[in-house]
Amino acid sequence: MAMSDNHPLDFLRIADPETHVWVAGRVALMRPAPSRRFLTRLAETTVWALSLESGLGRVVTEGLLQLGGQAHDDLLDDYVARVRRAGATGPTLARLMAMHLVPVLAAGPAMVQRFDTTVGIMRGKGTYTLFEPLSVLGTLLKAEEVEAAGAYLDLLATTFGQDISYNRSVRLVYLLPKAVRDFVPRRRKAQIEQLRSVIQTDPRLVDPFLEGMEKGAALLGATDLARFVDAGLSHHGRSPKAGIAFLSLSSEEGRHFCARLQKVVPLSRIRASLERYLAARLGHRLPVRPMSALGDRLPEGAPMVCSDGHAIYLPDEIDQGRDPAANIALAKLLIRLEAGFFEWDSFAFDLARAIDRYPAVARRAAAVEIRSVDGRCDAERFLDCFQRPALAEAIWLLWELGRVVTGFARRYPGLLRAARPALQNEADRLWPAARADWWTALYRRLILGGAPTGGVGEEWVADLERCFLERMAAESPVEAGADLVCHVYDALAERIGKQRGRDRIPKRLPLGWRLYWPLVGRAFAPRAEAAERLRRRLAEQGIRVYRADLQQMLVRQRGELSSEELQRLVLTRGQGPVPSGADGAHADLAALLAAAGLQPAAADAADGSAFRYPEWDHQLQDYLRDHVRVQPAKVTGSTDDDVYQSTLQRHRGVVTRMRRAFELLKPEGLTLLRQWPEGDAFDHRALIDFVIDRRAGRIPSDRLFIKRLKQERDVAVLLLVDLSRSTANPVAGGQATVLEVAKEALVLFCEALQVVGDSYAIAGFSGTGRHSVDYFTIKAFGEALTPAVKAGISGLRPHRSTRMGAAIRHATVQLAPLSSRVRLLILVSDGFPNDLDYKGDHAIADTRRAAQEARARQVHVKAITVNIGSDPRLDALYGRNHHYVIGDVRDLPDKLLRLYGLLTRRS
Amino acid sequence: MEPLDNAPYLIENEPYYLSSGDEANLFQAAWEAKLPVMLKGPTGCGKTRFVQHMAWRLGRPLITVACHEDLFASDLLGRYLLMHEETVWVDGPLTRAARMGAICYLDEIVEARKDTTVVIHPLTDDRRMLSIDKKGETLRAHPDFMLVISFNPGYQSVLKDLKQSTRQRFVGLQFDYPPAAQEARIVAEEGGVSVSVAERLVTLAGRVRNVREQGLTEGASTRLLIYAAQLISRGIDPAQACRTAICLPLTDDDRLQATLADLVEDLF
Repeated sequence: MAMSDNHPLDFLRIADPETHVWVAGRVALMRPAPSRRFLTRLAETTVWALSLESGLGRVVTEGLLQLGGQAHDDLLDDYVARVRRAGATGPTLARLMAMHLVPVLAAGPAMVQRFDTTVGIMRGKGTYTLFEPLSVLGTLLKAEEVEAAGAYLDLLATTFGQDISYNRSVRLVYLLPKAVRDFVPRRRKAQIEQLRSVIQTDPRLVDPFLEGMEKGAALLGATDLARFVDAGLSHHGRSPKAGIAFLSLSSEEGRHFCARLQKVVPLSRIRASLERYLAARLGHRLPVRPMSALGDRLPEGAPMVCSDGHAIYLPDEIDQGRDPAANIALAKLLIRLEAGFFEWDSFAFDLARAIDRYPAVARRAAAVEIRSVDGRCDAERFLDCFQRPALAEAIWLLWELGRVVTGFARRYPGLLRAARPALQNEADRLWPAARADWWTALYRRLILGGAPTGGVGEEWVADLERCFLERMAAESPVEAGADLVCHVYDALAERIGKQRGRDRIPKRLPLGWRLYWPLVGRAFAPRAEAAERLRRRLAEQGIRVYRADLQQMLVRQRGELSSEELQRLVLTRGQGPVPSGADGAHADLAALLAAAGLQPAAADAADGSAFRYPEWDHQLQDYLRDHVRVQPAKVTGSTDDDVYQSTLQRHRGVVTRMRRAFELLKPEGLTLLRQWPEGDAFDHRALIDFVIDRRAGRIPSDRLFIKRLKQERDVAVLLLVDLSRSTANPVAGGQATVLEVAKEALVLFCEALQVVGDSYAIAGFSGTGRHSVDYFTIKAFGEALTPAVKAGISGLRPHRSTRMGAAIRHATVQLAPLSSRVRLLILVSDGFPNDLDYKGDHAIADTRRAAQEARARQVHVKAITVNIGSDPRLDALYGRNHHYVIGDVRDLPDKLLRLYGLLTRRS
Repeated sequence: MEPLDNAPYLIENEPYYLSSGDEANLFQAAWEAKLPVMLKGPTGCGKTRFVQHMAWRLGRPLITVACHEDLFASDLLGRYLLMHEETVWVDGPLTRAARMGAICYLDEIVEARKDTTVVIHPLTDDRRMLSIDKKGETLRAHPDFMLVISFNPGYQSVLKDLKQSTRQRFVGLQFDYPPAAQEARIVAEEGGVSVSVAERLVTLAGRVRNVREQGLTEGASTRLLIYAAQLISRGIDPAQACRTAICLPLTDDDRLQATLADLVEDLF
């Protein structure tokens, strides 16, 4: 036959050589090679698609290639037939089908049927309704969320089967897929179903429902969400308004109802407090991260807690407990247990150290290349010395858990008292007594503190137990475990040689609390190489330090090591004689660090004209070092003090009144307290009275002294003004801009402070991005109120963005060295911080942090926000009781002074 | 003038003090060399107790003045009082100490007004004199007289500072919270608890001092630990005692309190 002599794709080559090259390339990569029939089908369909629309060709080919060369004929036929049918309507529909049919067909006939129904309904509204919704369907099916995908199709069918206006349908086409995509996978199906029942009742309820989900309803479990939605819908039945308020969680009742049902605690909510605890307990920062951050590294069986030596991982949402309080307690418990591995240095296992210290380990690990760096950790390397690494690991894990628990018993009896019942419950649930084996028996004995293992009945288990207990009595390092494993492994391997499944760690452990060495190896890999380089350099100098110690230090310092830290390490953890030069040889160590390619952690010196400040990253829960550059800037463009003078003119009344009020704040120098019971000198008038009284036989008063009190008002204040672009906005109901009013306030402020005599400074800030935050000094502390300062106030104009944290830090640096008793930073702004990469929660967290730092340095930070309504986020930004909102900026000049008077009155 | 009675200022029983370095010898040498001494260190780490101990050891009377911001020069030097229609001069604590050859201890000197601290200047250099203007007397200090001041650099650097002219008249002794094992012995001894309980209190203090970097301005002092131990020895539940004596005095911040509570829970 002539056909069979030609390659099936030749047909395509003739029709469109360019596409042929591409298709042939893809086909060549297919394994196993596709059948001839498939290729013929491919060529025909592609040519057909190209004839319909040039772009469609590729899409169809792609679909067929995804179905695969070995796909069932039926499936192929079905696909091609459906795409062709769609093509009869138009190329757009054909393209949609070609793109999205593959996963649907793969999911089976039930899905296909649902798909057909839904698409049929949606096409009734117009092809435009299909784009977004179908792409999300593909995402769900690819993630193998078949149930959710089914529910999603039903949701679409219900929605678009209703009589809805074009505008609404355009909105829903955008809204629904986005909402479904954002749902959490494990609750997605239930949430889609509830969304459907909401839409069934009234499509207008979609927005309130999604708002409520965002505010917290999304954390409800399936049945609870159903109860919540039922309650909301029944409210809606009585009064649509009440239903909307309920579902969107804007009504008090809705909020309460939802809060009562809520059990889940998202990790993000408690992370900061867990990390604070860890920092306190361990003395260094240890991040807590969501399990989802592990990606494909997540250990088998999705444990409730694990760590890689860098961070502790907890589930993104903690939902095992009855209520939020129980979940928070659970999270804390897990963190406390896991911190034990860090406290007793489980992750600092160093094979070289074990070999040096324990001959048994040295014999066992003789053949291991311990210096290599291969993405495994030393523990894995050690375990691979055994014929059955899983058995060695099982012994070792018992030891490690037991060692940490012994440490708990010694140092944290309270912790152990809380942890043991929880572990015990889990153990009873996971391991029925009938299925006890040596491992679980020893676990109960060593970790749970249970009775001796007599129950298992075998003498060798009791021997093993004794062996463990003897060694645990002393405070032993992690390497002692390796020694123990070497000692008991052979006998144990022989014992349980035939017992299948008993030679490894049980699949599920109480609370999933254990060590996962592969995680550790992968996490340390990037640092291992640097640590090894450094170790070698040190060894060349005759200084012996273990790699694991260097590694740990590098991790804690995020890859930066100063020569002082290295020196400390050498002196405390190094072994063998310290060479005479080592303790004083700072420069040598610094050079060594550089030679090993490690950045010395020296501070970045300011170049004299700019300052660098850290920024708080609330995602990392840590500072980004030297992240922001603040540059001092000058106010230019104005040489006269017209604004200053005209303001004084306009506010003559206020000025006079404020001067009088501030005169009262002014100290009067010495106060004399007459007739005081004790003091520096006699009050002679009282003394005369005293003598007269005595002569007259009356009992004289003993209040005979004068006391001098020097009244001091020792206040320094820095007024920091936001000069962002938004200050150019006009004031509601007036002609002036926000900044113009702020300038007036500054003028009055200067006048008042001249009267009262407080030390004060004025500065403005703005900028673009983290490398250029401008800090305009208008008046420095100690500078007189010169015409130049007055001109500076006149010359202020709106600039760019608001990186508040850096400005506060720089202002704090100005204030901190002053010796005044009260140091005050008043920030005047018209809204929230906002800059490049400095928005929302990040900006708020950093600003709050900067204010906290200032308070820690005894600088009071108060903020005045003008021109916006009260916003609860302002509390988050500055802290409760530390900020004032002035809705109408025109009140600012007056209120600023009143406020200042109040703040400093009792100083 | 009649000899001064120093009996009320003598310390009879040995005050408990556990030395953690060479400070006792240094102090004694300074006393012999007639040098004034400045004790630096955080609050509640044992500065005052050290002075008491040394006064006992040297057999000298001890006069302590807790400085405050209304402390005037006359509060230190003395003043005229009225007695039987006569004015009688009464020595202030500093004058009394200089006369009787006592150790005068000005606790938290930075709390005093800056002009007040100047009166101690002539006493602290080789003149060892005190001029009492009001009385027209220039007092030469007793050979055994010694001046000791203390301050806490933790907050003085930002709020107040000791003038260089004052600072440079003293020899300095640095104090800090003692090492854990020693601190435990001190807490056990002073608080009347077993060493194991004291050790746990000390561990707690170590953890709290870690929190310091996270927002607490000062860590838990040895004094607070002793308070907690004293409550425990009187039958108060340890966790409760720690909350009362350690957590609550340290901070008002709710979130830090929660962390402290967690730490306490771990330990007891």
